[in-house]
Amino acid sequence: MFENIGIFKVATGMMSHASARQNVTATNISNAETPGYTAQKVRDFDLETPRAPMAMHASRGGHLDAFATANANGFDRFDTDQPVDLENELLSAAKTQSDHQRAVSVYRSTLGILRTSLGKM
Amino acid sequence: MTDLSQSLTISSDGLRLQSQRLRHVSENVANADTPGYQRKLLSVKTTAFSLSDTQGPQAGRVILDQTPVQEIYDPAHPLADASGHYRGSNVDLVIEIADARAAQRAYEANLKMFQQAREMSGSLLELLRK
Repeated sequence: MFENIGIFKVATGMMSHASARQNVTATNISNAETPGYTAQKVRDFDLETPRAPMAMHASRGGHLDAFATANANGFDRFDTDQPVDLENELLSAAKTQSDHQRAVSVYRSTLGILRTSLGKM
Repeated sequence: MTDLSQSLTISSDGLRLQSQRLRHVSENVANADTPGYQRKLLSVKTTAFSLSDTQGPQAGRVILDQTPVQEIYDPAHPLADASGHYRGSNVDLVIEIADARAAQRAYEANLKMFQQAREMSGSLLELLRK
């Protein structure tokens, strides 16, 4: 009955990925004119790779629970060595927002399903 | 949630920097006709950046543009010297307007990120309702 809860983990992971990316994009945009600053990026969200840099290695992503280690600092953040490109940053900001919204809607509708199954409409 | 609140702090640092920049631009424009005025430039502090500890931009020192001021020919001017010239300012209005536009765009971009982070944390809090 509770296998469904995995959806919460995925949605939470996606939300915190979106927050991490939002943080990086805001940093890039606000530092666009700081001398010597190079744009940073967060690796795309995917289900296969473990999030945390110190995570255990697995021959397949499914062997370990990748989302148990998903946290704000666990997302791979790297330096692109390129100057900040405002257009790119705004595009990635829009994408971040829609990702976050999607994760929140998934979370909310799953909550709704749970509530229904508990008989609390 | 810490990521989102950190993002708010960083965006507001950017907003503060851009509004200070706009303040100096308007000072320059207002003083375009002041004799001997040198235009002010706002520098941004260079800090060591690390991937783990992100921070917003910080305004550095205000520096004076060392470009020589214009010599304007107007023998009737009270400050005119023997040759009829007086020292004007080194403000170029075209540059100032362009600078103001750049500051405005950067301000808008920062503001958009601020609003977006607010919306995102708002939608998270919305999950608690009902």
